[in-house]
Amino acid sequence: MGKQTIVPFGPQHPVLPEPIHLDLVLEDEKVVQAIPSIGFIHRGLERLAEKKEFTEMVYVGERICGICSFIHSHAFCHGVEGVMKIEVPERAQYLRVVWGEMSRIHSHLLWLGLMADAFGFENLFMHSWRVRERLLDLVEATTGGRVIFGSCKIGGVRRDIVGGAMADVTKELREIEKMSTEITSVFEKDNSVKKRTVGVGVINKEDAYLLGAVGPVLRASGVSSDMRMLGYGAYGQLQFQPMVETAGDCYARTQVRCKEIYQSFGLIRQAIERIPEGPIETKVTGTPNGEFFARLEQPRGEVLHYIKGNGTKFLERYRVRTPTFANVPPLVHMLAGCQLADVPVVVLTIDPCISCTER
Amino acid sequence: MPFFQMSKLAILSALKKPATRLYPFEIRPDIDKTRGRIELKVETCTFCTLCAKKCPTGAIEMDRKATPRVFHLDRFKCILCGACVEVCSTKSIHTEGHWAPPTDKRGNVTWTQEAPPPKAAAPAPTA
Repeated sequence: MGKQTIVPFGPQHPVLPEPIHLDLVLEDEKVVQAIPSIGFIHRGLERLAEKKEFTEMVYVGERICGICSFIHSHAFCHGVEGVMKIEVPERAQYLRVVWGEMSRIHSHLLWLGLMADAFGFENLFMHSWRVRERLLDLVEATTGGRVIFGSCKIGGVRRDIVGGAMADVTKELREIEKMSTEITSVFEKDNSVKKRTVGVGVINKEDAYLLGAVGPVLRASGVSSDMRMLGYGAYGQLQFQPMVETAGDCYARTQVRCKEIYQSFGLIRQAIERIPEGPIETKVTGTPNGEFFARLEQPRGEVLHYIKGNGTKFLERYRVRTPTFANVPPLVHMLAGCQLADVPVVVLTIDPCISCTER
Repeated sequence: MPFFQMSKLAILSALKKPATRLYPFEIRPDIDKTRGRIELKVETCTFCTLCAKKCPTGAIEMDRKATPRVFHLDRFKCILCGACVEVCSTKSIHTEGHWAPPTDKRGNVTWTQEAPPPKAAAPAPTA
């Protein structure tokens, strides 16, 4: 056994968009153990729920994270609607699917770029973000915002996609899909990508499940788990299957995300074809009294919003369990045994979102 | 050939127009729906204070008893959520597609109203 050295990784590191700290215990170049520590950007948003009216908390909920912003607001609204037993109009449910899937595509394209950057493929990084930019323009044209969609409200949505705008969305998405194909085929076939990802950071099916992995990390290890299958929103009326890979390595996790991009394009197309005419919101009266667990699928995995109301306009408890938090124990497991040079790639494959985790 | 996958993409991109713009010579056109900034059409505003009550960040303040009536908007507090636009019954408050110009000074944008808008005429009785 060689001499052990502890190398600090983060909280500021070129590969990390947000601060997380890992103490890497090394034997020569091999990682023996990784000890994570989080808590650098805790903002106390859950406590804020006790001081803000529940209708205003949607804005705060949406700002938990800049990438899954729409799905956070959807989850919060879904939770409050569950407590108050509000029937959301069909059209609003479909619009939530359209924006939710747009948010998933832009998150995955962003991640593909960051992943390419992590293994030093700058050209591919730029290409991925170029495609993402087109999608962000589309989001802006339909919601009015690039990062904060601001479209979800309790009882429905704020904005509608009317008239020819829906056809424009379909047309633009077709072009974005064509551009994405060029990017994802590189991730699928290129030798340099494969050399950095195949067989790196392996986690098998049993370990992934026992350690509580969620989202693409879990699906890449062969577990078919996707919260959208629960049928919230309009997902119950759309046809899709979770994207599953079995290898459990970094390459499998990349492939799951690449396939999910196309799955999301398909879901948006299905939603646009089936979207009914009608109102986009219902009037909300009364205050929430009771509790509800909203489980939604974010680009990074399952998010859990717990809402507890006490009959006043302020929530008694608001708790968010984010996918990155659930994926930290599997990450620690994956890091043990890998090479130091592979650490950035392995950390990136869980798509860490620390703003979400620390709220 | 796996290696040429990326080379092909890179060469094709080199022949295309760049994805970025030559700012400030080429300015990005505004998108209609963008929530760029909040603006007020003060002539039609009734100073009902509903927007100030609904604003989640308290960016709107108004004095309806003063002469002339004043409406303050703190752009540093405004998160452009559009809650005020949604509740405005006279559509006086609205979003504009272009962003507010940057500033290094704190302070409100103020609109003043010399005279309240005339009340809407009652609809003519139908025979």
